[in-house]
This record gives sequence, C-alpha cells and structure tokens, in this order.
Amino acid sequence: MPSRPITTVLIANRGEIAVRIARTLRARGVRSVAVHHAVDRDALHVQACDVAVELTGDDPRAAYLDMAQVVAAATRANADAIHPGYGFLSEQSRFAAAVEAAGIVFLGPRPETLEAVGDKKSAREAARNAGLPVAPGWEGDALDRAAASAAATTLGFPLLIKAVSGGGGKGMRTIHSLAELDEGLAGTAREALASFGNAAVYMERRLEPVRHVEVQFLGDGKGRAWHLLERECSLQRRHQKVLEEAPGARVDAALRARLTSAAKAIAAAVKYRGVGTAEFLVDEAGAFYFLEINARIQVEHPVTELVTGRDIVAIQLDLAAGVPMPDDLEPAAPRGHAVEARLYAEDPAHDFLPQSGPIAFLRLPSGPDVRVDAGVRAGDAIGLDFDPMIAKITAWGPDRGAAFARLRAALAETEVAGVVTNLPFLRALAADAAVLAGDLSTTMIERTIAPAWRAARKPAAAMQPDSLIAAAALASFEAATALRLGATVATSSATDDPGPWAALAGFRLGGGEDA
Amino acid sequence: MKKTIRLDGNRHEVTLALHGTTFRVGEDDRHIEGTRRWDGSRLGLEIAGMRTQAHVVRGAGGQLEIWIDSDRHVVEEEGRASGPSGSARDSDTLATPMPAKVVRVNVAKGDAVTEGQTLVVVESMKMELGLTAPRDGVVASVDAVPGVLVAAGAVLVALEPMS
Repeated sequence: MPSRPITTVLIANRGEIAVRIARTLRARGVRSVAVHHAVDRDALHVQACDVAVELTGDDPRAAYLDMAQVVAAATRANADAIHPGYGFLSEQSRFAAAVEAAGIVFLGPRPETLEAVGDKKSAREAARNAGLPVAPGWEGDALDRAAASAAATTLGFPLLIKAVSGGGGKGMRTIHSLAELDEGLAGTAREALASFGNAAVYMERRLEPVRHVEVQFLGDGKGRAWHLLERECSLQRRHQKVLEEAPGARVDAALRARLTSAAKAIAAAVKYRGVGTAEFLVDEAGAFYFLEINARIQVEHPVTELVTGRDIVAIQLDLAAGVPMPDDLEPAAPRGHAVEARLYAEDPAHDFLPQSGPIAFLRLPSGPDVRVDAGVRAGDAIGLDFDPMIAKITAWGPDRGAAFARLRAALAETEVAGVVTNLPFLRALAADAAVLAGDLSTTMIERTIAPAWRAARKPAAAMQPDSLIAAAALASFEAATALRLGATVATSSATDDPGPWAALAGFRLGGGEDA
Repeated sequence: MKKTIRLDGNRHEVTLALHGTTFRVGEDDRHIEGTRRWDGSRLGLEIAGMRTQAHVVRGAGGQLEIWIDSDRHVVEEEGRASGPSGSARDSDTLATPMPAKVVRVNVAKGDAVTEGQTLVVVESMKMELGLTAPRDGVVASVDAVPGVLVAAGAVLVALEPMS
C-alpha cells in the first residue's frame, strides 16, 4: 500500500459522479483534475474541478474510455491518484494496472481483484468458495448451442442471459422459452461486446419474486473487511435501478447480520482493497443468493452515506493513503432511513425509452434532509453518447415513512422542461401503496406499477382544462409574434432565473396541488 | 382574433383577446380571463388568483411545445406546416421511438413480413431495441442503414398500404 499523501486526484469520469467526487476532494483540500471531451467543455463536472484536461477523439464516449490518454492526462496534471467513478474504466483491470504502472494510485481494487470479480463466472466461483449461496446457473460455452439448449431446459424458464463482463444492469436479458435462446445469446453477446469489449455470456435461472439487497463493504487489501449496512434496490425497470433505499425495506437485524457477514466473507477471501458492493437476491422466505460484486463506488451510495454519516469517497482516499479505519466504522444500526430517486431523461409512457435534447429549464429541490447529486444544469443537452441521468434526488427521514414523505415533497418541487423525464412516474412510485408498505420485488414496476400508471395517464380529449387550452393559445400567439418579429422561440431558456412568476412549486395548471 | 390550434392532437377553435397584460380566451360558450407575462421563453399566467408558468420551447421537429409542471404538451398551429407525422397511417410505418443508431436491417423492399417480426434493430445508450412489424404486409421502402444515426420519430420502414 502506498502511504504517501494524496494531494491531487484526477477524476476519470463525467456527470454527477465526477461532480460528487470533486466535492469531497474540495472539502479535503485535495486538488481535483477533470478530464473531458470537447463536447463536455463547459460541463458541470469540468467546472467542479480545479483543473481540466481535454481528451481528444471523434467519439466522445471512446475518449473517456481511452486508457492511455487518461493516464497521460494524470501524469501531465501531476496527479497522485485516479478516481474512476462508476462505469467507464472503473472496473477495467487493464486500466487499474496501467495507472499503477505509471506510479499513480488507483482508487479502487487491485487489478487482479478487478479481473477476478469483474468476470461474473469467476465471481460466482469465489462466492461459492467463500461458502455463499449462488443462483442456479450454467457457465458453459454459449457458442455450443446444443449444450446451451440442454442447460436451458434443465434450468427452466424464465432464464437470464448475462454478459460475463456486464454490470450496471446492462448486458442482460430474460428469455421465456427455448425459441428465444438463439437471439437471446447472440443479442446479449452483441451488447456485451459493444459495452464491455467481451462477448462472453452465461445463463442464470431467473428467481422471482425476489428482492435486490446489496451490502456496501470495504477492505484494507490485507484480508480485513468492514460493512456499511445494506441498501435495497428492488425497484427496477429493465434491470436498471430507479428507487433505492437504506436500510432495506424489510431487512431485520438477523437478515442484516447474515447478509453483511456474507459480504465480508467474500471481501476478506479475495483480500479486497477499497470499497465495493456485494449484490444479493433475497426471496420471500429470507433465503439469499449471491449475484455479483460491483468493484467501485455505486450510483446509489448517497443513501448509505445518509444513514451511516460516512463519506464513501473520503473512505476511498483514506484506504488508499493507509489511514487506519475508525474502530466504530461499522454502524450498530442505521441512523433513520434514506431513499434515492433517479431522475432520468426517459419516457415512462413508452417503455422508459431514453430521450435526448436540450434541458430548457431545470429546478432541483433543496432544503433540510434533501440531497441532490446533479450532473447537468439548464441549457445542457442530454445526448446519445452517455447515460441519460439528470440527477439523483435523495431524501432522509427518521423512519421509512418520513423519508418517503420528504422524497415526495422534493419531487413535487422538481421541474424539468424541454426533455421528457421519468419525473411524473417517480412521483407516482414514491406514493405507491405497495411501495410504501415495503412490499417490494424486482418485477413490480414492470408488472404492475408502470402499466397502472400508464393506464391512469391516458389523456382524455374532453378533459383538457380551459387553463391549459388558454396557455396553448397564448403560447401559439407569442410564438407567431416572435416569428413575425424575426425572433425565434428558443430551444432552451438556459437560465436559473425562475421566470415570469417566481416560486410556483406546487401549483398545477388545471387546479389542485400535487402531493 | 380567432385561432385554431391542436393541443396534444385535440382541435380547439378559440377566440383570443389581449389588452396589455390581460387576456381572454374563449371556446364555444366558455371563456377564461387573466393576466399574462411573456419573457421570450416562458409564459406566466394568473387566472383567478392562481399563478402558473409554462415553458415554451421549439422541439427538435420544429413543433411548438409548452411544458407545464414537467409535462410536455404539443401545440400545432393551424396554417403552419404540420409536424413530422406525415399522411401515412401508423400501421403502415415503422418509426424509431428514440434517437438511435441503426444496428441491423433485416428486410429489403419487396419482402413479405408478418406482424411482430423484427425488421430493424436500433441502439441507444448501448441498449438495443428491436422494431417489429405493426402488421402483416409487404415492405414498400427501407430508409435505414446500419451505423447511421436517426432522430426520434424517423420512419425506417414503410409497408405497402393495405388493399
């Protein structure tokens, strides 16, 4: 372990996570270095850092994945360490190795750990060796279609086909019959190759109904491991988390003890260095199955920070610098409850498909017990190159009900114009009776909540309120007038100024206040 | 003045009277009055003491949009060229619902297809989406090339009209 002080950190990422990492660096007086492609020249994450280095290349996404350029930028900026964030290069063992070969600290696990846990097949093996239960699956050669077909029949349907190098919910699909096997294997392999540079896939029995509960852990690289409680991320669509909370909605002290011990066992077994997450599926009987290890900081880490009072980025810096962990690091119990909603540019009315375009107006919530992690601001465009996340909105309360109530208030205060978002759906989700009862499963959004929401939302022609018609007529008049005068209606108002009427949160055209 | 608009597809014939900042909008035998402010991108309305704000935006397809409480409403103005939706019926065409890159094209002009068959695969944010035939038919035209970026709503495959 290097124990020299870390005074400059390059953040090999963009968007909200880069902004969030920069916040801790600033708080600790550590110099921060942003990297960015030309399209991100004025991005929020560039402004959040002390210095910025441009990455060149035609493809913006490829630029952030260009290991040689990122390492060269770190050397040029005199960085002692690189924080990879999540996604991009964060779990690439070759990148971690290249960083260390350049004499720079990689704020993540050792390259060989990344290799071992990043490959889901070997992660399953490591878990089995550490005595953890894993979901029934098949790890044979997917190109041998006869063997795959026989294995699929034995495992039974529905089946998940997963990319060996996958993560973040990508590179995964469900098939319901043998007829879908061929396209399932080929399609997942294609996506896997495009996203992770590795076409290998494996199959796993899809367990349901099931909850997704994960444990935040950390290790000192010498076999000592700690946990920072669990998070529940059962509310997903297309295997992507939407609403996450800590602690788990129905995780009692006994289940917590079993899950956190299991996570620490595997972390200790691989002599894990840095922070990571062990993901589990928990069934109705309380039995759990190891899913995978995410060897990086996770999107949903704020909920853990709010119920433990710990700064996970600060812990990453301390672990890398060899600072001893405090004796009371592991919380005896969560401090209250936290819930995070991911605000995405996606259309909940149309299968949550990604949306793009300029954000004309953006108002994010604030106030006590609300945390906002945003990667964009008004005037920025959501493009096709990157994840369409706008912000994470996290609320804290002394108990689960209070945390959800605070989240509902925060979502009511949020407003986005110019690009379609999942905000109306998030509001419904945070008020859903089954969700509030803690009666969660990984399929409930797609099976019941989203269809019900869509059905309730179908616009009835005769129901258009007069005030909406008036607004439309006046907008049409103003736009026509602007056109006559040679002006245009902007695609974006690109301002934080609240507009003609300030402070309208809570009021709705057509009457009524929304919860 | 009289104005004909389509709001989210519903036609409204309205009368519009403006005096300084006050307005009166009527439709049939109903009307609504209030005051308005316009700053070039936002329309503030005060109706019976209740204030609301609409963000007015030109969408990528040139359509006028008003955004109220994060909800998009599309306003088509009579007399202006209509939006991207042409005369073809939805069941005759296959359009991409999102801006995307074409990954694969499985059909060519003249091919017979069956309802639900995947004709084109597009990709956005590293997620693949198969676009399936809306009905049985014969492919009239294909406007999709692998690797090419397409805008949301772009028609990639058209079917021969049903006889």
